[in-house]
Amino acid sequence: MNDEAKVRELFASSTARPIDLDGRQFRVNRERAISTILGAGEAADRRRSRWRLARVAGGVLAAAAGLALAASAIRTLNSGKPHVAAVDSLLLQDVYGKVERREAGQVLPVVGRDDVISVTTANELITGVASGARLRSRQGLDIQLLENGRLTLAGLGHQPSMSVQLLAGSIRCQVPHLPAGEQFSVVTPNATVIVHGTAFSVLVSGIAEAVRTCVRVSDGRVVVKSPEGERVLGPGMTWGCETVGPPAEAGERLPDDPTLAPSAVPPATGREQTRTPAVKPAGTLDAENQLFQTALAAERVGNLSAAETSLERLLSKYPGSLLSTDARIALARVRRKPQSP
Amino acid sequence: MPPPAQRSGVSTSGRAEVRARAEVERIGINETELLRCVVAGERWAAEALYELVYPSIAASLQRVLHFASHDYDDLVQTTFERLIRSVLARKEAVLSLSAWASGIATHTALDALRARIRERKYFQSEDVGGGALLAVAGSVSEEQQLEARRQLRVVQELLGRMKPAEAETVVLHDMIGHDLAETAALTDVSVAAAQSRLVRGRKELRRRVEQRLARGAK
Repeated sequence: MNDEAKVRELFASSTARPIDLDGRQFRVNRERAISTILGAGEAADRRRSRWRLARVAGGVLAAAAGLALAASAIRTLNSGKPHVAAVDSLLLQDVYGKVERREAGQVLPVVGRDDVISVTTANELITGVASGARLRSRQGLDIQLLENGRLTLAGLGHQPSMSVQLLAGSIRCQVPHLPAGEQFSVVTPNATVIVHGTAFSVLVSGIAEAVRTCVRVSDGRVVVKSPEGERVLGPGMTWGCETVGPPAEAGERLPDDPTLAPSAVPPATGREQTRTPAVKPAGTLDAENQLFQTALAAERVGNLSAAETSLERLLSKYPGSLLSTDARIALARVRRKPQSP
Repeated sequence: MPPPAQRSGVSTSGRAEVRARAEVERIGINETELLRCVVAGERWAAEALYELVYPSIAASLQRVLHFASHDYDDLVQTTFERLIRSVLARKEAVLSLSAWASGIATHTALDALRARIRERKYFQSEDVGGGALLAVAGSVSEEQQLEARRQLRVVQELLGRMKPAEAETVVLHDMIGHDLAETAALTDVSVAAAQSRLVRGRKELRRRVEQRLARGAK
């Protein structure tokens, strides 16, 4: 008998025994447990607050020493040493449709949707019609590249100003809260979107002189810099999206429909706008975002039916949602995936 | 890999968890948001969290400890406290609160076994001679029940005396039923390291059992 079989035999009586949840033998005080849970949560919150306070105080005290160190570091960097990579590992996953990865003009293979591959900041990602992929870093940066997209990652290797270059298509970003002095930006042909810990999407449509950028903010704040000036966008605000959003009659169209490809979307002018109550009642963005995030979470864990239900709820309850395009794309992707037995 | 029924404990454990999960899904929040509500002092969230993870905690504690004892409730409370603290201290979200709770409960149970050994309260009066380590088969007579209890005590004692990391890995994988990837995540090591600990742990447990048998036979 091998070690595994022997150990399982030794554990057999433990594993075969039913678990007592009714307190017949193993009694537990539920009320006490709930108090413990609430107490632990409160204590953890207090610890975090103290830690934040200590960090601020420590930051002030360390400022002088930090300045000296920073000056020294800048001298070292300027003396020809390579930059420290801000994002040290990038993973490409949830690939569907046709996705290409290019490096120095060469096309590198991208594997199936169940695989996770490591990519570098030297890569460029290109998605075809009804295709997409998700790029994540260990630091918490999460970028969903949707169909007909082209994304260059070179700027992710530079600290403290990390960036990606979106040449076409659309992305949806979730950016972790960055330390003071660091920033993440999305550079498009006609605008730069600068963020500090937030969730937002950027769409580039048209080419050459007709190129347009649409920015939609789900959470947090972003700054959009363009030749027309600088704008600050808060949650629920958009920039340059007047005619880029899905029209009402497009509600039944699926993302496989090439007419929904960003290049076919009529160009928009790059100016700030907010959602108008006539299109959609105010204050529903959180609920919409919640449904969308729930669907994505369900999809990630393989619960495709729950993901489909959440997306359908989002589209039926909020047909004019800013997330409707993304939701339709996600719905089509979920429906294409085979259900696990 | 044990069957799902074994992994989740029993049907009642599964039902409570499914009910809690359905309730959390009905109100449309995920586990991270549930924790946020717990931190905000929402009682309903603490109750939902309890229903969600207690079945996993119970399965781990009861399998490792096997016998009901006066400190079971304390161990449950300790597990909940460690669970909340560890999850909130992490920068990344845990994959599943239930799995994470199961890992922490296993750790707590093994700590308790080791504490009992140190305090000599638990095993001193027990006859843990090698002759007890015989598999129980056929009809369950009183002697056989006694033998089975002794065997369990011996296994518990040996687990409590093993290297903590190896004991935890063997219990999480072979007793609780987590797969290797989950075991690695719960013990915060790579899959390769978890595999290595599992192999060494099984070998060590078997060696100790056979040593005890040989000692009992003399």
